[in-house]
Amino acid sequence: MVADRRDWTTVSFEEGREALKEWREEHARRSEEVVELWEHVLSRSPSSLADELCTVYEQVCIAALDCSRTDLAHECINALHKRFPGSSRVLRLQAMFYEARGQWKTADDIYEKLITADETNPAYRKRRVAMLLGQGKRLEGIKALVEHLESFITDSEAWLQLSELYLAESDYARAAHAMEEVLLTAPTNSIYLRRLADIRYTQGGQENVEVARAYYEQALKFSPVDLRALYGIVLSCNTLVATARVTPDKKREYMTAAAAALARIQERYESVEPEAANPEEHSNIMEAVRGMEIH
Amino acid sequence: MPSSASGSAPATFLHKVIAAVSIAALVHAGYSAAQHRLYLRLTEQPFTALPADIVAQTLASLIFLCWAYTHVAGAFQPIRADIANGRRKWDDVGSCLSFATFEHRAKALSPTYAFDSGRSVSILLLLF
Repeated sequence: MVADRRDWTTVSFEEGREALKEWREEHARRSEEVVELWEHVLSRSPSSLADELCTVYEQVCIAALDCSRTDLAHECINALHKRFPGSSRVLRLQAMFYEARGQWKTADDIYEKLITADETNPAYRKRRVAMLLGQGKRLEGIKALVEHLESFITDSEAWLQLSELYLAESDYARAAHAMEEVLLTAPTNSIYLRRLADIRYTQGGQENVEVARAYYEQALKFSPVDLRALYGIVLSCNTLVATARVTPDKKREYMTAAAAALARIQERYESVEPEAANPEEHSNIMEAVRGMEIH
Repeated sequence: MPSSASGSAPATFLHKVIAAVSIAALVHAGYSAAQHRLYLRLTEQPFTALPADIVAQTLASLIFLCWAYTHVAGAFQPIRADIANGRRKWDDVGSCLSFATFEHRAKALSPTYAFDSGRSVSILLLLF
């Protein structure tokens, strides 16, 4: 799941606190690590967290639910409830607790009440969509999500989720449209650009692959170290060269672009792992990269 | 954003000379203005306005300096979006936490779930 997995049981208190904060801000889903960090490091002296304590409890509670650690989630909710009796944010955690236990009806009733009490808060509506997804009702989930987006059109996370759901349904055209909406909120985000390019490339057909190539180029411009975008350029250019309806001029252009991207890929491998470190593996990689070139 | 406004042409020797001369002219204009005020004070004349030649020299050297210096400074750099986003991974960017569901293998891996699932636990602090 995560490449840089490390042992979180032995870190210092301050380090653990920083890590939790970073994950909170990045919206990273590292539930197992959060639970581990809480149980081995932070729970030793919760009061040292001071102002942060309640946010950390909320984070740990959701992480615990994600790991099916009902006991821990229960403990967090109890602590938060003592601090904020009658808070709707704590109530939402409770509903999530029922969700995790599969008591859908109870959870739905709570969300219903929360939405009536605060109609402008998108978080509860999003949970209802998530509940449908949790029950495996993907099509209903899509329908609910589209409805949600009608009122909250700038919710980029919802658009992103919609795109993922359409991808799961193999509806590439709609997935691309949803991804375009995400891109509108952050036009210079190379990851979104690359994702959209991936979708267009998967969709296939000359026109779409041409668009995909343009998006890959743009993604590369904003993030010159993006190896996947480089590979994307090579693949889409190679595909375009192989299509029947392409003028010789264009063909030459695609081949030059692919060759340039391949040169950059080799350069990148060279800089990350120089030949001296592992000559055999290095030559294998270079061989494989060179093998992608069309002559 | 990438931009190639006035910085498209590379800086030449001429641009550097013009920039240097304009700086000198601008400093000179300032010095002239100070000298003029000193002269007025010594001859006890009231100050009304700066002579036209000093004003003209100031404006002309300023405009030339602006123009020449944009060439000396070189082309505009694109804003590095990768500093903000390059470090991030799709795992984090595409995780959509608000829509996270809990129906996955964690239930099988959890040490407590199998024990708990038989009981109908309800947390008794619902206070609507």
